[in-house]
Amino acid sequence: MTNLPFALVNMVKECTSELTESLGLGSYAEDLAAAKPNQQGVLAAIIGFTDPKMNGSLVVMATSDCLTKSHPNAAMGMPIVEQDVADWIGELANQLLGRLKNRVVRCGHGFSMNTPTVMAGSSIVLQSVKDQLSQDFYFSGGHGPIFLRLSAQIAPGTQFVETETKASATEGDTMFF
Amino acid sequence: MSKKILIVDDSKTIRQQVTFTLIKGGFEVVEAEDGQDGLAKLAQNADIAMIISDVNMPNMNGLEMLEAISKNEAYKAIPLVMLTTEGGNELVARAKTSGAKGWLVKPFKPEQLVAAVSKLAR
Repeated sequence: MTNLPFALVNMVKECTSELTESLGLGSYAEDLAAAKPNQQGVLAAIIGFTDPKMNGSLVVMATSDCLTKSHPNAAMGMPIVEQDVADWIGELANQLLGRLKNRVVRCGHGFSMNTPTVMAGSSIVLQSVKDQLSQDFYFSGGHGPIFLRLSAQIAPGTQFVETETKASATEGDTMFF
Repeated sequence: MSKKILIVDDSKTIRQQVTFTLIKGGFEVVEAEDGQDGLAKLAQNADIAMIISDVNMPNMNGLEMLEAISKNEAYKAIPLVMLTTEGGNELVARAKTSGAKGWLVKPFKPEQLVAAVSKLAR
């Protein structure tokens, strides 16, 4: 597995911390000692992205217990069923990749996002893909561990330097036309 | 009578959050899970006061649905706001050109959503 550009790696870490805070999950920090959730009741969401300069996928893995505790329905006093948990990890992956995309846009790049696919299992093993750069991230927080893998083919010479130019809107923004 | 709002999003979690928030805010909510379902729900509900739509959805995405609505005399006057993770200039411009009235970037605060609906719902 060959590592992703350092700037992109930092963006993933920052986006994950910001997202978990904004969703009320509390502080999620990178924890190199954390184990990948790999036991009964693990769910994984995979969401792809594509652009001539960079294309690949983001995988988000967490336990069913973590996802149930963090599900927005819990705060609303509403029941949480199995399908809700699966949907939630898909939405987490979608929002995380969306945040990362907004950061990549500030570097002068961009990509189209797919819709997430969710898998559940007792032992999900990720395989490395040849010719893709890839990085694993381990986060721990109040609701249990979250694991990410970002994999991408990146065109040679692509730099990830954020400039003053920002995306039209960022997380939490409201614009009226 | 409560104003009826159509939420179009492939995420059940988001639909539940929006429905819960808007019902608390005094609105009635109809849900759709993609752009095609959104158009079907418009055909089934003549009294939709506003549409809130995600962008990235299977079958028909939110911008495709918006463009179809903008060409339909029966629906084009219904205010539509995008609720999405996307914030890029091109997508926002495309939505604005097609007649969207606003753009909210997820995650949303409940009061923010209710304020937008209160402002725009016809």
